[in-house]
Amino acid sequence: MSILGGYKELRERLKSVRLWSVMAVTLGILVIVALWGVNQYKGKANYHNYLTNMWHRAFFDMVGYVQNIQALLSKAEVSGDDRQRAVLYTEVWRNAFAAQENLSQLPIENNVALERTAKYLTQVGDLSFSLSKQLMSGKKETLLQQKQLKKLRAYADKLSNNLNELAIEISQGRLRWGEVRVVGTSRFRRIAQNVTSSRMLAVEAGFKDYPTLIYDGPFSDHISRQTPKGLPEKLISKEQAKKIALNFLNFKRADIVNYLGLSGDRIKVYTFEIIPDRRIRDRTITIAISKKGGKVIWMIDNRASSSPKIGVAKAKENAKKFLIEKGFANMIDTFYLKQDNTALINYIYQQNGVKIYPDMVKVRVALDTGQIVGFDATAYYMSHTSRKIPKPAISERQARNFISKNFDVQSVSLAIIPLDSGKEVFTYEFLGKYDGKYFADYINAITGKEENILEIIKDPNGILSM
Amino acid sequence: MGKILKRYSLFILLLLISFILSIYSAKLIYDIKRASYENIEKKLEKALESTDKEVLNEFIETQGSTSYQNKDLYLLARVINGEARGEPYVGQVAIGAVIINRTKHPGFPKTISGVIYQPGAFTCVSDGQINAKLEPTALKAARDALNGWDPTNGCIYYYNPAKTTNKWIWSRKVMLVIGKHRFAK
Repeated sequence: MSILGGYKELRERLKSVRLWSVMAVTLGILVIVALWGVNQYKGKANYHNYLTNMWHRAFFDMVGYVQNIQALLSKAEVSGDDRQRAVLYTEVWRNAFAAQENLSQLPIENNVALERTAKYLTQVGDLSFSLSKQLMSGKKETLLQQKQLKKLRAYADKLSNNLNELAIEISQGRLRWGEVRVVGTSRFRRIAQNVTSSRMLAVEAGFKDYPTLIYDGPFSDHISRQTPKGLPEKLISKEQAKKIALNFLNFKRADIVNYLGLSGDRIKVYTFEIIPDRRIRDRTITIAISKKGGKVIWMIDNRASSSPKIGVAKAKENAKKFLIEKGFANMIDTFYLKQDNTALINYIYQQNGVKIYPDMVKVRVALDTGQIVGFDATAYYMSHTSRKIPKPAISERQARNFISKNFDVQSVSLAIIPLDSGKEVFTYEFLGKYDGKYFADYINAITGKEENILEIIKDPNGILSM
Repeated sequence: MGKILKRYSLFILLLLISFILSIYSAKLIYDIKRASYENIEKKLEKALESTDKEVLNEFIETQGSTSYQNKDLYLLARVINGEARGEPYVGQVAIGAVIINRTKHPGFPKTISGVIYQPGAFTCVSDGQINAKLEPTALKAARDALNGWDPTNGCIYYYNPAKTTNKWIWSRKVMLVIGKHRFAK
């Protein structure tokens, strides 16, 4: 008899096998689900192992680097040879940056909270690097620098000890990396936070009274505390700032003006969001006015530009006119960049034929209407001041002797350039070619030291330096 | 033998069907998931292709001293896209600026990728929103941030007060509010 027989027959058969079949189907599904689950679990365990290995690698590498920093710094304290110390300092720099890189990969729920430990590692490396450069130029460490180093070494000792304790617990399996999951139940998160994260945060607490460090490097504490040189002293109110903003944009009135806040550590600014026309809500202009001096520091107009109707030459003309109108005299254009149907042009100040690179203003011109849609004078107001530029102590010909013979010089001028440490130097700027590429080589006009080399990239979209 | 087979034929058939069905449905689920991933990847590739190719050879100069290469542009744009889709344009530039401010701050990694992939630093990285479809405004905002515009004026933190439960972040001093985000020091 076939099971495809009559309906009645089938019903009867079904009755007899119903119980069995239901059980069998359930069992079958259970088995399949179980197999699938085991498979999933295996996959998850694999990933977990893989991640744990990566975290262990990062952690143990970091412990090693911190130990190296401590050892290298004490060696430098003992060493009496300048060249030897210069080498030791570069080693500290390398180890410190590697340590910080690994620290920032540790699966702490909120890795960002390890900010002070990271800052210590950055500064110990940065300071060492600047000392190494100082020693190479023939200057010994000052008493203050020796004191700073000793303090930093003491922190390295402490950090190294704390991390070693953690390392032992981790390698004995007593401490595990918590799950780096932001989503999940709160209980799960609490458990994760209770283990290694909190131990790392305890290490972080060791840097609570970490001192302010001032030295010759880009991550020194003085960088964020620089005060603007180019702003008038008078303080202005929020209401005055609003007027200045509307004036700058040549608006008699605007439909909506929103005040966003007072912010900034080097230049305090009132930031406003301006919607010129209520009906065109998505066009907004954001503008920042300095509290000190009431100057427009930057402006962004988000109006989208349509296809270009003017060229870069015309854009430069408009930008120059705009700068003169806003009171920036003696500005010359340097680099430019075409993107999003706009041209971004960098202007620098020129004093008696000397290019002043730190005094930089960026102007963005829309290539459809020629309108100014962006402006940034942060760099200009930070550094602009009436400078007394000395006469070069070495002649152009002498300076040429300090550059490579392979470098095919095409033009020379005098320039003041900014250094990473925030200082300025007076230099000869040699523009030229090497191996088909463009470079700018800067030779100190007083000492003859090579201060910087920039590669200049020219392509259809602009001229840039890097 | 035949008798047993006849007796249980329906049961065996049902078992077989259920077995095939569950395998088939498991495979179906797998395929759907996989397809959605592939779809995201394809969309991303398309988005990358459509944004003008010349940009790929372009280097962006900021503030005279630090320069960022193009690889950072897309990474930055993706985070902006994941964190601030639907936010005002300046709010998007601000997210990019916070990331760049961190690279210049001693307490953070020194590269844009280092800052972005720091565990727990950005929600969109943890939950995969970073791979969402790239909107052109995010790319434009990323360019503005790389070119040095900083609507936050030096902030290194931000959060959405409606979504954040992290007590630690609430302790930072709020400097300004753009859209739904609070920017802090």
